[in-house]
Amino acid sequence: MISISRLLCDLDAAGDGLRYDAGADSSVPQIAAEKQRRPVVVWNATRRCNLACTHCYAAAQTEPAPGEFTTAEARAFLEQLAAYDVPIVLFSGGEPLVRGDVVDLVAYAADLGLRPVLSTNGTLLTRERAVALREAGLEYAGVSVDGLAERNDAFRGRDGAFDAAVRGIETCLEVGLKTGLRYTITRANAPDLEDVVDLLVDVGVDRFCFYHLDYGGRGRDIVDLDLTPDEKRAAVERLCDLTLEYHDRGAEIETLLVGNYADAGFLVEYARERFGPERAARVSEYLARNGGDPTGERIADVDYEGNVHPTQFWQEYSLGNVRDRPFGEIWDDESNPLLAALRTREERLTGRCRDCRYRPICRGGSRLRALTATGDLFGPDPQCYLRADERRGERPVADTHVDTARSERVRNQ
Amino acid sequence: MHERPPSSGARARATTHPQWEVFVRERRDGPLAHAGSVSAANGEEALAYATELFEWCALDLWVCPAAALERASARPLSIRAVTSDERDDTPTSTARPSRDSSEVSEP
Ligand code: SF4
Repeated sequence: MISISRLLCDLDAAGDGLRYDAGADSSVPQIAAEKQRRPVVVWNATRRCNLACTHCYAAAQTEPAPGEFTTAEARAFLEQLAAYDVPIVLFSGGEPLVRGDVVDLVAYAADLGLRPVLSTNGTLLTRERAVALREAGLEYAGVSVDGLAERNDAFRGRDGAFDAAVRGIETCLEVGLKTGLRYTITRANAPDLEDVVDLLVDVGVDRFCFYHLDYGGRGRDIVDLDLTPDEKRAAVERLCDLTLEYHDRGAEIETLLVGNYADAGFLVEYARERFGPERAARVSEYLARNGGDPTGERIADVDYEGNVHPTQFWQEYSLGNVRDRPFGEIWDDESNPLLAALRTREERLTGRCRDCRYRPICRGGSRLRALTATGDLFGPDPQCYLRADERRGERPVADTHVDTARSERVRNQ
Repeated sequence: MHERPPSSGARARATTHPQWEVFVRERRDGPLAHAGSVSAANGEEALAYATELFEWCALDLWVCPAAALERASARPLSIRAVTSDERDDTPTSTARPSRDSSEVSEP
């Protein structure tokens, strides 16, 4: 997760400690250092969903699936996460709000010291539900919207889904539950991007999270819907411009990018073009502490059946199952050659990633996308949009800061 | 190992694509070790996907249906006695629509 607003506008945010080790010089309470080393866990609490989105990585179904955790199993699973000192558990799905026990489980997670957050399509966020979730200790609800009404509803497979999601967002804001937008950028909805931000800023939203399409789950079948690398670059640039424009007008929105760490290199380039080399060096330093693509390290996914995945998008491969072995043991077991390789991937990258100056802050982008597109786990991410001159570093940028900070971090682990 | 209850893992893994456990040998004199699982429609696809994932390190690669394995563990996901209240709230029932399912039909 890369915070455009933090990097370009110096916005302070509570989650930055997890992204940039920024706790020391931040005025917002940060997550304890011990927890920084543990992954954020996305939990697909159910595979059921009331919608049928084209890009759903979890291939969610409207029918209940066998193998979903009972309430008792879900509690035991949350205890495993707490025992491993996981900092944040993201209740996801499917649509997590179709689980009748979700409020209880959020409360239990909060009691265990896990910070519960929610990813939802927003359509089930009634006022009563939002109040109950807030009182249970839910810290944040990210609501998915993927375009203005027409495009969103087509994508989500239901008329009225857009209006229902916006109502859900308004409900959260009314009851004082922190909320924000999740937007998966595709060719189908890229043109709506600014309008959606404008509309939701008017509603009162100040946090916007933009996802690049990854090629897992149903997303694997819609690779054609992905933007071309050039279109992707243009979309990210528009988001950077938009963030600066809002901040210039005094509206301190938080904007974040997820799922394509070529964005890291792009942000350094953008900062240098816009603000000069010193700012580019600072951006580069922050991103070095961020550590690049988090797959298999700072992000984990546990699906509705208990299978542990290296990221939420990589549902076709599982490291193990928490019904067989506690989460922490699975996550620590580097006798699994794939897990070990993901954690040392920088040395193994091939193609354009091998000599890329941004390799330390990107780490080769998405290994899942590379595997899906090329059949090579260490091949190039097809969605890297940096130009050759940028990757090869013909223009000066503060690479030395990057290497120093990263090797320091590795030494201290 | 202690006296162990059987894990519910294998039974619980019936998905649209079945799971296949993957076993990898990395060294000639090394063990065939479990290395996670893949989901695939059949054994051939499972082996093909496992090959993509591990060909850079594997000398031998086996897959077998996850549901075919009987499992036992000294520390399975502990399951408390489920009270009747909890059972009412259990989300796995296929027969009874949950409270939220009725909300879904609202616009
Ligand atoms: S070439 Fe590879 S390492 Fe460099 S920015 Fe692109 S994806 Fe990242």
